[in-house]
Amino acid sequence: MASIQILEINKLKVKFIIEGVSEVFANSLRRAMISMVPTLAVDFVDIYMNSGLMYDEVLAHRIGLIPLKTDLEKYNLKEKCTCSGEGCPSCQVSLRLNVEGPKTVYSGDLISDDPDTIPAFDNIPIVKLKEGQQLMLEATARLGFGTEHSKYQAVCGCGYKIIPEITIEDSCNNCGKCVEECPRDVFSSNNGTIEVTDIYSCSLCYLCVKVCEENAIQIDENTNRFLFSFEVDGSMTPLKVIKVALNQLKERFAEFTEKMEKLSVE
Amino acid sequence: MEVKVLNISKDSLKLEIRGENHTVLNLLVHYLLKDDSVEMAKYNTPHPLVGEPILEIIGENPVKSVIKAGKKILEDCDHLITQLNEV
Ligand SMILES: [Zn+2]
Repeated sequence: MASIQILEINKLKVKFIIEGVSEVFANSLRRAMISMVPTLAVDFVDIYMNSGLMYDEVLAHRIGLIPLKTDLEKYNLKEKCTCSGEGCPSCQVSLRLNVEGPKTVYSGDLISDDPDTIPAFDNIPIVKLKEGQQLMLEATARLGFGTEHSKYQAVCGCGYKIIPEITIEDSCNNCGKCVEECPRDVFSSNNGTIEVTDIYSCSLCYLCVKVCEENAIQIDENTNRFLFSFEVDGSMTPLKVIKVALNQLKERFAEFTEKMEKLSVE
Repeated sequence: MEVKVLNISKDSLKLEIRGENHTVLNLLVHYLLKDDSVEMAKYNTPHPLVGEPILEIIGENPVKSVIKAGKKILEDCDHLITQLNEV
């Protein structure tokens, strides 16, 4: 049976173990977290005034890449919204920027229509303005998926690895070569006996197996245990990302099985 | 997700699953192959950018197998979601 165990979690990072599922499921979950979790990002910028040194296009691109805090219960995807894609308060949010130099413009200077939808970090520099230079623009953010552009991707460095099972057989003569050889310090010597102490760090390099003269170390990769780790861009909490990804997968298969059940009746 | 039935018979099923990719299909095929009554299950995307994936199943009762596989995945997702809600 599938089970999940969270090892470390904070606002931006998570490390968790999934057990009892195949590597295919693990990979699908990884892909789902990257491409099926929608986030808000600016995709349309009206520039009323830009007398700074940076071109409008580069400025718009920079604003697009700023992560925005996203409440998925509050916003609809534009194409699935009741406004039929025209744009309304429940599918888009506008952010205004009105600054005058001399100053460095930061993401915190963007003023949002919705007080909950603000840049995730307010110290991201956008552009530097000199005395007399002015910037006046309105940016419109909407929900999108990571498949469209990486600015809509909620996770960074999302990956998983197999947690193997390392067994040290009785033929081990406690020479300690594996302790020295392992680059991840998986093994340690406890009063002369070799023990596996940090299995989560193992990168499956098999150096310990190669160096062992007694062939006493066995590594089993088919444990169906996976260590996931990823960071978020600040748009939502890591826990929310996992939940949304799983719900997205569930929705697809619920829809699919429903369609297939109708097929069998015909 | 839009499913177009390309071919259906007693022991074979060919579907075009629009708007989906490896995330859904690789998982489905893997769960289908765990089923002993399935002889063959595979999918192919004719073109990675513009094509829609085509799923082909041969077995004793492909429709039944595909429903069973889908429900098994739903079950696994449900287990994980309920555990996450407790955190
Ligand atoms: Zn709308």
